[in-house]
Amino acid sequence: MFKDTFDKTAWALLALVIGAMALILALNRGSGDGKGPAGLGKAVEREMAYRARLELIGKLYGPVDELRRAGNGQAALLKLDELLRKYPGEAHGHILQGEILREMGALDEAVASFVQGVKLNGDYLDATSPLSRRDQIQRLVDEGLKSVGARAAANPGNRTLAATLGKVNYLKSRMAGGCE
Amino acid sequence: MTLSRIIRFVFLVAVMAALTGCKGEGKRPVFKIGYMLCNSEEETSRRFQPLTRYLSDACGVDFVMVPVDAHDFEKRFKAGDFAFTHTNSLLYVILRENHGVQLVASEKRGKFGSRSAGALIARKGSGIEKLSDIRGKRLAFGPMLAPTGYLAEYDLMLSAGINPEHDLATYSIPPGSFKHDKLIYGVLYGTYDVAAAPLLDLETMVRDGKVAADDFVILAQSKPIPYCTFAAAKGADPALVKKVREALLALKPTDTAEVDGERLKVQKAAWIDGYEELLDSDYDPIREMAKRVNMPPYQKY
Repeated sequence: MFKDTFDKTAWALLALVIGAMALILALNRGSGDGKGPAGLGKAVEREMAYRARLELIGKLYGPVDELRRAGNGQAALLKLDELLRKYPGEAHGHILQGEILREMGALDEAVASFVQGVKLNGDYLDATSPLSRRDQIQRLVDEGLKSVGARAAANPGNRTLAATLGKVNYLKSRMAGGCE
Repeated sequence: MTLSRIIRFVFLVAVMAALTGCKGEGKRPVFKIGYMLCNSEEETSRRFQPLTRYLSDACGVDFVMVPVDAHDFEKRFKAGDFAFTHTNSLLYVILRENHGVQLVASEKRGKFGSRSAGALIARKGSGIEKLSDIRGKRLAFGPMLAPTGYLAEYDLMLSAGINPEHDLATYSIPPGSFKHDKLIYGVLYGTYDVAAAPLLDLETMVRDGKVAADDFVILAQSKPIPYCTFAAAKGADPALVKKVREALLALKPTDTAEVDGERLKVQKAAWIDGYEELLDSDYDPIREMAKRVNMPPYQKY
């Protein structure tokens, strides 16, 4: 078996390869416990995705915000309509639409838009989020309870008012920490 | 004797069965709904036939649609040509004030739900940037009884101290059908400097890719006001009015009706998103505008 130099060299190389493989396997097993560098990577990835989303929102909806700030709410709504069709699952468009509709005096439709937005993404209710619209939603809830609540109380059989009041109450419950 | 009697009996039974079979359809009471023409009789019929059939099925009566020109509407309603009405919100106010119609349901379509707004628009880059710039310009209105294509914009101008009768170079109404589309295109291609555009039409044209949101400057716009409205004559059967209201409010995007052997989606055919139960007081902004603009039902000579 180890008669000549060739045999000895072959067996030595084989032992070296097996040893190296065992070392690699041992190292991989050690890093799979979730406390190593890969766990940190996931957190960073999440943070990066969040910041990328903020960046994208700023870029996509920036022109809408500009039109709105310039007092051209309707042009902003038309622009927003294109974005809502392109990104129907993105909550920001619904939130922005709710804000514009509110400014234009369409309270019921504004409430419906905010409901859609916070159902898609709860960040808008979180006071610590850069996307937070907590104050605006609180004002909308207060106004909704006062205005829609009074109309609904005066017209108890009216289903449209009852449905809008239900949406205002939904926002109120989410503000209070209620789940979806 | 027996054979001829049997034959006669069978014949009699067959005739009775045939008559009974016809009775179900023929015995249903017939009610007419007057639909205000939107662009043309053909288009209005195509849009609202499925809805009319849906209402017939839901209410257990035979509704018949009667397409009516906006300017003839009040006269024909007064003559008793129909008991239910589907009109724009200004015509509803006229019928309410003059004939006491009762509100049944309000149509939802577009961003503002059961409301829409009127706007004065100009082409971007035309040099018209604000409302005061429209003095001495050529303006196009929509039809005269259009709440968001005429009334709202006339009111916007008066509120800004611009008298359309004296302060514009000209104002006109595009001829023929599809007036709202024509005046929006007219501004885009330079036939008019300014147009009185219903925001719903502008929104739809942008959505359909006919024009772009960036093509226009919105110089001013009204508050959102109720749009198309179903109403019923003062003396209409309350139980039937209730059934019609229930059926309209219950209408879903998936509901279908059969017209000429074809099953169609009711909402899609009618270009609507559903119905809401507004209050008559929600129409007060239209009343205030009509008073300021001196339009029916408050017109004074």
